[in-house]
Amino acid sequence: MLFFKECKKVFFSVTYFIYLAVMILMFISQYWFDAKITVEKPVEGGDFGCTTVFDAETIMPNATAAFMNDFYNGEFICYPYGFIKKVHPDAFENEKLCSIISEITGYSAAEIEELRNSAAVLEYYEEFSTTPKIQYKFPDLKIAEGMTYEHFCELIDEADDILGGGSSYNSDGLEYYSKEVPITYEEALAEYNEFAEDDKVTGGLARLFCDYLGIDIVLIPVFVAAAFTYTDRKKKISDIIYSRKISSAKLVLTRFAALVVMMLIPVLLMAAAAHIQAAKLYSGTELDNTVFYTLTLEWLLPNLMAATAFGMLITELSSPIIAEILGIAVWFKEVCLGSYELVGDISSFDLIIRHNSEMYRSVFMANYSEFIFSRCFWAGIALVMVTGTIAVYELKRGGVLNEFRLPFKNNKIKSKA
Amino acid sequence: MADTIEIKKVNKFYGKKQALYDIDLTIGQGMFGLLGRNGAGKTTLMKTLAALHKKKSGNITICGIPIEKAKAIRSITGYLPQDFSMYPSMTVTESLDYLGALSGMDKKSRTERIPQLLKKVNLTQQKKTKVKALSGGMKRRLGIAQALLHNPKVLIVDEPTAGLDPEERIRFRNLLCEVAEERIVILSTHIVGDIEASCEDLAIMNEGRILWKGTVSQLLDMAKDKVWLINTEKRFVTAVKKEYIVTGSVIHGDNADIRVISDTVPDLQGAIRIEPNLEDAYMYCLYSHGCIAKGDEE
Repeated sequence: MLFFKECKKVFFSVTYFIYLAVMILMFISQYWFDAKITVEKPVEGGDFGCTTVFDAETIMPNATAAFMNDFYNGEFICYPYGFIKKVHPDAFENEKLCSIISEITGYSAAEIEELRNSAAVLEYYEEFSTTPKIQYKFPDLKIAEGMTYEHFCELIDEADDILGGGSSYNSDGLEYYSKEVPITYEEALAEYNEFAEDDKVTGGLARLFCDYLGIDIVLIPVFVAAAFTYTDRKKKISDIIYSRKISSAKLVLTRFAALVVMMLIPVLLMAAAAHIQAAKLYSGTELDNTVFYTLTLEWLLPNLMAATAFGMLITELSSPIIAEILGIAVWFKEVCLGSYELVGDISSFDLIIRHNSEMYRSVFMANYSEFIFSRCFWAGIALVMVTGTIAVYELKRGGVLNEFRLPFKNNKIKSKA
Repeated sequence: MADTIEIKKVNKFYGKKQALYDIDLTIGQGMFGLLGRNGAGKTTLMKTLAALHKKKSGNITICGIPIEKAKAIRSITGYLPQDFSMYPSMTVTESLDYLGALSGMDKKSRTERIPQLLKKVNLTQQKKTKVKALSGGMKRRLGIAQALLHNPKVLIVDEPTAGLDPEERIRFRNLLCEVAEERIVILSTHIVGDIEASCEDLAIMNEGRILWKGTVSQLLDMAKDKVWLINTEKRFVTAVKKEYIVTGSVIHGDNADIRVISDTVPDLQGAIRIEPNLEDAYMYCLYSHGCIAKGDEE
C-alpha cells in the first residue's frame, strides 16, 4: 500500500529524527518535570497563595504609579517584537507622556514634577549592575475625579503607542496591576475537587501536556514536511514521479496523511508516557484513562495538520527555505507576539492554544466552544492548504507552473533541450 | 487503437522564448531516433510527449489518445529522463515496487513483474542493492526497468547512453532494440552511433525545428557522393578545416587522412570519394540546412 511506503520514507528521513529528538526533549524538559510535582489536597489552615481579582479602583492607581515610576526614571521596559527593549523617550515623547499622566491624575505638569521630589524613594541594584536604580513610591496616589476605567484604558493604550508598543501599559495587560487577595481554604478545596473529580486528574494534566507540546508542534513539522516535499526535486526524481499514472490528489493526500500519522504517533506515545506517569503519581485516585489521547487528537492534531500542510504548500510553490522562514515567522508571531495570558488563552482563530496549568478547568471550559471552533478552523485551513498543494502539484506536473525560486546562484532555471 | 504517435504542427514556448516550431512527425512501432545537438529541443519534445510539458498549439495523439488526457497518456507511456535518479536509500526492488504502486499496479502484478524486469535488464543480482551503490550503467538499466514496469505501449528515452562506457552503451542499445519489438520506442540522443546501431527511422532536430525525417538509408543516400577522403601532409590539416566541413581526421606520422564533406570534388590533390557513414550524413544534413558552415570547427 502506497501509504505505508510513504510512511517508511518519512521514518527514514533525517528531519524526522530531528523532529523526534526535539519533541522528546521538549516533552521531558517542559512537561515531565512539571507534572512530577503532584497536586495535593489542601489542608485547612494552610497557605494557599494569592489570586488576583479584577478591580478597576485598584488597577488604575497601581498601573499609574508604575507608569510614573518609569516616567521619572526615563526608561520603559518594552517587548515590541517579543524581545526586551529599553525605551528612553525623547523630550517630545516625554511631554506627551506627561500630559497623559496629567489627565489620569488631574495634576499639572508642575505638580507631577513636584511629586517626584515628595515621593518615597527606594534605592536598589539590579543583578550584575553597580549603578543604583531608584524606585519611586506613591502610597496615596489619586486618580482624577470622574476617570472611567474605559477612558483610562484609552489613555494607557495611547502611552503604549508612544513607547512603540509592547510595554506593560496597555489595556490587555492591566490585570497585572489587579488586586491580590489570599486564596481561602474553600476556594483551594473547590479548585482541587475540580482537578480531582471533574478532571479526574488526567484531564488537567492532559491540558498541560497539550499546552507544552502545542508550542512546538506548529513549528517543527513545517521542517519535516518541507524537507520531505523537497526530496523529489533535490534528488531529481520529480519527472519520474510526474510521469506515473497516479493522480496528483491521491499522491499529495497520501503523502500528507503519511506525514501527519508519522508525526502524530510519537506524540501519542508521549501522551501514553504522561498517562503512565500520572497513574503512578496519583495511584489510588480515579483517573480518566482516555483523555490524554482524545485531547491530543482534539488539540494538537489540527496544529500538526496545519503545520504539515503549510510546509508542503510553500515548498511546492517555492522552496523549503522559504517554507521554514515563513514557518518560523508565524510561530514567532503566535508565541512571542501573542497574548500575555498563559491560562485560558483561547479565542476562535488562535493557532496556539495556551493553558499552562493542570488547574483552572472552569476557565478552560468557559472557553470550550471557542476551543472547538479554533480546532475545526485550523483543521479546515489545513485541508484548504492541502487542496492548494494538489492544485500546484498538478500544474507543475503538466509543465504549466514552475516554482518561485530564490535568486541564488545555483537556482538559475536550466533549460534542457 | 492506433499504434502510432501523431504530432501535428506542435509549437511550444518557455515564456516568450519559442522552443518548438511546427513539429510534424508520425512515429510507428519500433525504434525511432531523434538526433540533434545539445539545445536542439529534443528534451522539450520528449517531455511534451510524456505529458510533462504543455504545448502551445498543434495536436498530439499517442496511440489514438490526445495528449491532453494526461492520465491516460501516462498509463500507456514509460519515460526515462536524461538525469534518471531514484531515492538513494531504497533498494532496486523497493524502487520498482514504489514506482509500480504509483503506476497503479496491484501488489500481485508488481511481485510478478519486478523479477522479470530485473532479469531482462540484468539486475537480478543487484535486487537488494541500494540505488546509491549502483554504477552509472546499472542506474540507467534500472531506469529502463522502471519505464517498462507497467508494460507501456510507448517508451520515451531521453539521452540514455550519455556518460556510459562503450560496453554499457552497447548493452543498453541492445536492450532498447529488444523492448522495441513490441512497442514504440523513441530514443533521443546527440550520439550518432546510438541511432546508427539501433534505429531505422529518425528525425534530426535543430533549434526547435525538425530539419529532416526519414530512414537511416535515406539519410545516407542524401550524403552519397558528398564525402571525400584526403590524404595530405599533417601541416595542411588546419587549412583544410578552414575550407571544408571535416568529419574526421587521423594523423599518421607526418601525414593525415581527413574526411571532408563537399558538394563538389575538393580542390585538393588526391581526394577520393568514399561511402558516407551516418555521422557524415548527419553533418551533411546540418551543413545543407545552413546549421553549420565551412570553417566552423576553427
